[in-house]
Amino acid sequence: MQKFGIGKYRNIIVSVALFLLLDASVLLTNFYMSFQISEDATAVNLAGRQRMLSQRIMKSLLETDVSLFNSDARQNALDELQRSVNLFDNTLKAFKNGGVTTDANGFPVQLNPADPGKAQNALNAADEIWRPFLAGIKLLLLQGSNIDNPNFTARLQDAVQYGTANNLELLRLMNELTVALEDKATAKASRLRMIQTVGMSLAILNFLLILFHFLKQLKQSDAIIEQSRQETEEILETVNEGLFLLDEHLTIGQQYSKKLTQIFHREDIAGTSFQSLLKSLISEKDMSTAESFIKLLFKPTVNQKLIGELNPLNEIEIHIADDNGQYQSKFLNFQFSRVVVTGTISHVLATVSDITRQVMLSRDLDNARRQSESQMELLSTIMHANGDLMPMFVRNSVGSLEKINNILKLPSRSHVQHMGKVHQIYALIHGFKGEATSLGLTPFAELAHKFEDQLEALATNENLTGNDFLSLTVLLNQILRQLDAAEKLLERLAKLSQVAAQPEIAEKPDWTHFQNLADDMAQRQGKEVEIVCSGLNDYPLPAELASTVNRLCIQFIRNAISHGIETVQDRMDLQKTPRSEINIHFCRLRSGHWRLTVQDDGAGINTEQIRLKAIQSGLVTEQQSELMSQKQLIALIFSPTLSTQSAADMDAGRGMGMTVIRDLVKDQGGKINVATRAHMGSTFTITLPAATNLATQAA
Amino acid sequence: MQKLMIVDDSNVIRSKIRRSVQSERFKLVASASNGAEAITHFKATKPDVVTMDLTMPNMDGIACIEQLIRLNPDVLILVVSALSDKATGIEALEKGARGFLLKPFTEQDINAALLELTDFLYV
Amino acid sequence: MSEDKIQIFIDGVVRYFNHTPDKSVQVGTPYLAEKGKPMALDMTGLIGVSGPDKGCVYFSAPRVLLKHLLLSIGEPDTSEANLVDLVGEVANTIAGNARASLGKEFMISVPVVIEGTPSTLHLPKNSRAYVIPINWKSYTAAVAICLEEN
Repeated sequence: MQKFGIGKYRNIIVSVALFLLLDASVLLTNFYMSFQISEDATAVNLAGRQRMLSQRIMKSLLETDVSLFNSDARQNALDELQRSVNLFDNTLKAFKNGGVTTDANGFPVQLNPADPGKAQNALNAADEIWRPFLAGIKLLLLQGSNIDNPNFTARLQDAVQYGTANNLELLRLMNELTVALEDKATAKASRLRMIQTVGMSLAILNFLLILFHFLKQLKQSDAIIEQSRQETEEILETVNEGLFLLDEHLTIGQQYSKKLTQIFHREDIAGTSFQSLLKSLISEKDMSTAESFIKLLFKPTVNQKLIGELNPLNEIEIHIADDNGQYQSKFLNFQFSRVVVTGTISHVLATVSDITRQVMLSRDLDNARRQSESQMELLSTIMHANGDLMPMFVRNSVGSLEKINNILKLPSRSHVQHMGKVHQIYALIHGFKGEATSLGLTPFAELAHKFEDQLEALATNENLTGNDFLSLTVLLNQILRQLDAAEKLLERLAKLSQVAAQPEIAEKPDWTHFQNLADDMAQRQGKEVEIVCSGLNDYPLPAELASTVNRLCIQFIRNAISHGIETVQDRMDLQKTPRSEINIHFCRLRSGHWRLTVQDDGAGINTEQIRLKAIQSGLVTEQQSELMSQKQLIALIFSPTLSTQSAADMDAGRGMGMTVIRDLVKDQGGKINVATRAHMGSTFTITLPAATNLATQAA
Repeated sequence: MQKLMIVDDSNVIRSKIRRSVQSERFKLVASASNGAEAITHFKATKPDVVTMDLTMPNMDGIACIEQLIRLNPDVLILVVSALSDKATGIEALEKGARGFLLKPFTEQDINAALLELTDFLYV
Repeated sequence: MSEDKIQIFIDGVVRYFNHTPDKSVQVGTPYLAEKGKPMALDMTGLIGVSGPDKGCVYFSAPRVLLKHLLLSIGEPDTSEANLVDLVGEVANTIAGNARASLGKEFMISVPVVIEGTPSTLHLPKNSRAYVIPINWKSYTAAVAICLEEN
């Protein structure tokens, strides 16, 4: 990690070091050069002094010369000459070969030999002139100061003469030296400026490099940070779970996924406590269990893979008000896992998912399973009953129960009115119970029995109120629901049997159930019936035709037993055979049409009874009925609202049987013919189109 | 090879665990049918790993875990319980148990749990 | 839908009427509404139910009953707004009663008042609603309970 750190900052460190190095070298050069420049300045000063000294020597000589009669002045001039000559000579030597001279304050000054070239040339030339001049002056000075000494005046004259001749040249040469030295100093100064400029430029350049490098890196790392921030944001925006971090005080972190706000219908989640998030959504017990559970995750010795079973929030139902104040039930799944940073558990990551759909689905599946179980029960009930009678039973029963419901619906306030309802309902439910029993539909019979029990309780209730009927209504709903289920099952069975009937030519059907049905019904009504079938098995019948024939026969048998055939007793009184006979004959006509004939030897159709019933049920008016022919009256038996039986019992439908026949025949495009004779019986003749016709019709 | 002790009041469960564990990883050193018995065996055999039922006569699992941890804070205790109350299971872990396995379990379940427990490196 | 739960809703309405000066409230014989066909009088206060049972419960009454009810509780202003308020209040009472008796898991929404036949009613299609006539004075209102059956 540290290595990585240096690597990351290496360029910067090198750049800064280079910057410092450059600055230091510029500073050093500066220091060195300014030292040199001060040396040069001294040299220039001294060179200037040489100029002055050359003139002062001349001046001293001339003063000596004019002070012939003033010995003091003469002596002063000679002293001055002596000092000037020494200083000039020393300085000239020091300039020429390097050496020590004296500065204006009398301090020794070290001079380096002048550079070859102009300065040295000037010095050499000056030296040439100076040396004889110096010799002459030295000779002069050796003579003392006595003007009476002829040597003195002669030497003085020589020196003045030489000085006058060469003084200007010496001055010029010294001036040349000064200029040369000045030039050198100027060159040095400009070099120094250049070095400074270059150094500073380099430093600035380096600084800029550092700056740009830094900025670029900053920008890059900013971009990376921004990108990762954006990525985090995107993840949190789109993830399908509520994600958030919890610290060990169960405080929710600053960042969380958007889904979390959707699950809890709130925005202010950052920094709040986990408890406040779930407050009033889950029970206090679950809350405290959850707290302890999460705290376990902060306990390092606990193995988080081995505590999943203890999570109290793995499938928890909450009821939460949505933005419209409507309560929603949700199933949430909370998962918690440790976040480990450098070996310590820093946070617990909580993941909430809305598993409502899954839970609902599995509940639906459970329901479906339970339903299919009860359907199976119902199915076995239906299978035990006569399959063909079942749809009829369901239709009849729904009718009866709806009648019961309509009775309940009638306004009633008084005890008498309530009691009236109890009795009316009793008759209806009793009929239903009878039918269910006769068909062996035990579950329905049991429900009806329970219903009767409750009715009986109501009947003996002296303070009967509307509210007391509630249990009855609930039970009514229950029976209706069972009937709904049975109806659906029957529909599906019908479809199944259609599918099963795919091979067009069915096995020869077994018609023995006609006799069973007849026996069953007849026995309950004190009658005896013999079913005689012929022709039914003479032809290979298409499944659909067989089913139609079967259903027609069942309805005819039911109808004949309920309405046509007399009781054994009546028949004996009428001198008829006690056992009546229903003849079913089926054949194919030459035209290809099918003919079904059902003949009974019962009482025949009582047209007078039909007429009265039709008037009673509002089917026709009395006047209308008087104008009706026998044939027209007989046709009325096919209308759904007519039943000649005085009271509905468990075998007679409420006049639905003949309607069913009419509808079946109509559906097949067939015809019905009825012949009847009092005490002789009735004959129903059905003509159905040929199977091929059926097929064309279907197509 | 780690030393294992099984604590459960049902001998069916005890024998199921005994049959399930890998013999090359664990050596069964003791079985106990209640907490008090477990303490005695623990002192004598010093097991490294303990499977612990929670509801037992004569000192329940929670009290037993507390005592075992006092005797050896490093013992690896796996709670094996068919609890209806999650809070009790959490309490067992608060007392020092390291993991929890819900009854009923399969042979693979108990094996995987014990391996997870012993191979687990603390954070 | 158990009988007990239905009874709680009935009690809620009866309790409301029992707090009026005229306590002559009478419950009629409960019956079943046709599947998916809501029974509705002039004004209906509806509360949505969620939780283990889903569907709705509503109180429906003819205007004349509501006007009379307003007068009987000493409110002479029988404006439409007050009628709406009243229906909402009855629905609220039913909801409150249910909340108190059925506990938290029975979630009940804020009442909504609908005029006329509530075509927007989301009645569960697979179940028949229970309708309980509420007779008060010479008028009849009703409570309907329509919850999905599981």
